[in-house]
Amino acid sequence: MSKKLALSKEILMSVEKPARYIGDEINSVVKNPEDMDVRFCMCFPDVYEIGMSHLGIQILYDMFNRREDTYCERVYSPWADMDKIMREKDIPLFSLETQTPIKEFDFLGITLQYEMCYSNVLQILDLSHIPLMSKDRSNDDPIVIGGGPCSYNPEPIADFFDIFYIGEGETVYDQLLDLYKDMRKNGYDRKDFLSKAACIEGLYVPSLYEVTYNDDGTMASFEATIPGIPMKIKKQVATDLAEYYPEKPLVPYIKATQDRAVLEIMRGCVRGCRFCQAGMLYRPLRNRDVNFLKELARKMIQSTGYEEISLSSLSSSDYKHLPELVYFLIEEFKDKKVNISLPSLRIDAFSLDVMSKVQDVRKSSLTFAPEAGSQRMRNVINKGLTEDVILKGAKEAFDGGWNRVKLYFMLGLPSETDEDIAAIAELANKIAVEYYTIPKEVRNGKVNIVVSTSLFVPKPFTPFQWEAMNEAQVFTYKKGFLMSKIREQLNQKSIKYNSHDSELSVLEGVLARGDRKLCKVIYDAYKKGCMFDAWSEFFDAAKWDEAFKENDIDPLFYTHRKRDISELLPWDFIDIGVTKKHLIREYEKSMKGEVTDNCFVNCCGCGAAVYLKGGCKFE
Amino acid sequence: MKIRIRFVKKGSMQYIGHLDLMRYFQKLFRRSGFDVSYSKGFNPHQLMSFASPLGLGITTVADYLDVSLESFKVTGLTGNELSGEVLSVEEWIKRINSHSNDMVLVTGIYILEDTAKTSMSLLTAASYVITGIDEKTCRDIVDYYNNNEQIMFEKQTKKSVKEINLKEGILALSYGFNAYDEAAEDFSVRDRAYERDNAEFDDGLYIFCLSGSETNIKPDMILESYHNHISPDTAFDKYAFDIMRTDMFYGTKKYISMSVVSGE
Ligand code: SF4
Repeated sequence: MSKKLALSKEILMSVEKPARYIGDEINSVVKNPEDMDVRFCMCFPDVYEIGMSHLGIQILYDMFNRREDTYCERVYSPWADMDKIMREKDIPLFSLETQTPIKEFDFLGITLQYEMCYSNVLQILDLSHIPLMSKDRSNDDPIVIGGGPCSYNPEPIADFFDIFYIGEGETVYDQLLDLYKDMRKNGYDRKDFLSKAACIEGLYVPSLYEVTYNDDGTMASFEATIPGIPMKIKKQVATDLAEYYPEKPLVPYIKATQDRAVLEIMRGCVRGCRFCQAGMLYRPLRNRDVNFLKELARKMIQSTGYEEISLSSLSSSDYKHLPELVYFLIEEFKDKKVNISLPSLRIDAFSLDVMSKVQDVRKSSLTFAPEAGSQRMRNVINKGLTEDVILKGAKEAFDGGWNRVKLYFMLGLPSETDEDIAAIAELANKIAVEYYTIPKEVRNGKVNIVVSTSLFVPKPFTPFQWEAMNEAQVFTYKKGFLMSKIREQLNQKSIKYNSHDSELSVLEGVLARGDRKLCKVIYDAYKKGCMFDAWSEFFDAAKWDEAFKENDIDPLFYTHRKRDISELLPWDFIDIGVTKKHLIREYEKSMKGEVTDNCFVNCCGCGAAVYLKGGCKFE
Repeated sequence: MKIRIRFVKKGSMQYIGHLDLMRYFQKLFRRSGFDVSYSKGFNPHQLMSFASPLGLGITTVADYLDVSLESFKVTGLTGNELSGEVLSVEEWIKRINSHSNDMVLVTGIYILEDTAKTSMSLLTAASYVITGIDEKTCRDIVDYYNNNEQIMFEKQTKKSVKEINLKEGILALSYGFNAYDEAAEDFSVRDRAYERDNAEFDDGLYIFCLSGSETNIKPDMILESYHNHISPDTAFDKYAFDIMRTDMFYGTKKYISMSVVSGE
């Protein structure tokens, strides 16, 4: 029967969406905690609906729960209304499955998908009554592990974590759990455990390394404080992608951001866009077997009852068996009222054909991500998409009945000039012109173009990791300038412009390439009440400013400063396969506007091939 | 084909709202391969409607959902072992429940005439049991109800305040299942065996009241009214007790359980 909930009816009835806190979702795992050696709590430090939409957690949840000795449960950030009540009534944060206080778990694994969640990490620890600093934790506290893309520069949050897992979760967690189990049986000591964990490939125990700084604030050294632990942490890469995948993903009761089954068709990307961190981190490309995916799609729809399935990857058009897979899904789900959604497809004859089959052409829009307006700028970022291709694709789509277009660009790219920005407006206009070449009787009303710009944030492990980021005022100017240029276009009435918040992006920039000195700033910002920084309605720039000032830290040191190639970077101790040499080469080529072929055309020897037996092979 | 489904919603599922419950049933039917009819068009949806939404924080042992069904055949994806087989009502109840959690359960499937009106339009009354209130208070509330000629209650709606007489809206108010069973005997046709199995509380306060589009009485109104009567200066705590809906009814001369289909 019904389990006992951690919160009273009175509390649950007084908050928005109480279903966020009750667990019991379809396909959630039920085990008897008393029979377990290891209790692991997985956390996505944002609100439930966002966290439940994340595939990575679902994969690991499934993987951990396949172990008979382990029970993996979940927790998400309590929303602000619940946060307030939990603090007032001193209610400890609890897991969804068994409603157990987080503090009683052996592990708390936190996935770090974006930098703006750092204050929420502290919220989770605080509400769980776990000391915020790793150094203050005792044998009774869970081991706090960070993972996900932000752990590739873990330094700004190094003080709060006991371990960072660098890379894909499928590889060494078993080793870590076995080690823990073993040590728990034979007298457990936290310090001892951590120093042994530090020897497992891919695991970084920040407390065992020491950083010193030069007078100008740059890093002078990064050293291990005990002998025998690795000086380079090697990114983990799963080579057998058929091993773990949840056939029965969790289905929330309330609508999650991603209200559909997700089929990850491949990992990695061959494109080599120079601004893209994911493109470098997840190299090399690994395809999932098409028959495996067909079977999986069927099973997931069967076990969840979802009405939609979505393909996921960084660049789905590059998946070798895409037509085979997509036509299979269309055929298989035709009479079953299952929608197929295909994000990130290049617009070409194939994708238009598929899209006309799976969606209502009149209601859906075409998406292009040229990322930059001028060809010069696109060469700098190595985005191999030309104006001709965009216009040709748009024309074909317009002929097929589409009349809505979404265009994604970045502002603030290295070497960007006003002309490059003006080119965004011009490109949007050219697309509109293309539309109006269709005779009035045939076309489908007016064309509707939406231009969105995000602000470029240089990220670790990209060829732009040394680059300066624009300041907030510069972004504001650029957005205004683009707006005025759009207004000058002949078809300006058909073009709508959306843009991102500058201050938020600047903080993201600071945290992305920060060092350990920022731990204190994040701590102080949290103590001042910062939380849910990824939500513009909560983000409070003034509090962050205060925290920087009080710690005598200039945020521009991290964003606005162009680094020298020889500078020791906070994340240099991580080895992602892609070599620094490759990044430097790419950086230099970008400054000359030279493009680099993608892996299918020509291997440029990035270094990631070491992960595959016999190297990268794409026929 | 039209059918009516009786279902239970209890435990932590009381915190799932009406729209989310609808989405839950849609997925549940798809998982179990129930051959529900869909609307036409580019975004087809399952044809179903509830007798009446259940408020958040309230459980039920007999709520109703009308569904249009193509057949009693198991539909579903290729590879489904039962695909295409016709199942009986009993087998369907089992199958659907095996794909549900243990807090939302189907306890009856009734085949309706094609011309049958929706449960929503038929609904005239509902019964509830309230638990978690001590015996003395319960008996005082029953006395309060019995000893007053009229009990006026101000019902706050979004736009206005409406006065309703709870004496007219509540047809029976009794403490304990047996007393209720007797009180409701004259004016109702109920599934008493089912009530005994699912909603028999010796210490429960039972309320049989008008429900639906004409007069819609909420079971806690009488508690609030009583509270305001004896301690007008304190706030009414509406979460100090648990409310469970025990059945829903149609008809006016006699109130007939929605689970009794013949005679509509
Ligand atoms: S080694 Fe070559 S083929 Fe492999 S990911 Fe790097 S550039 Fe691409």
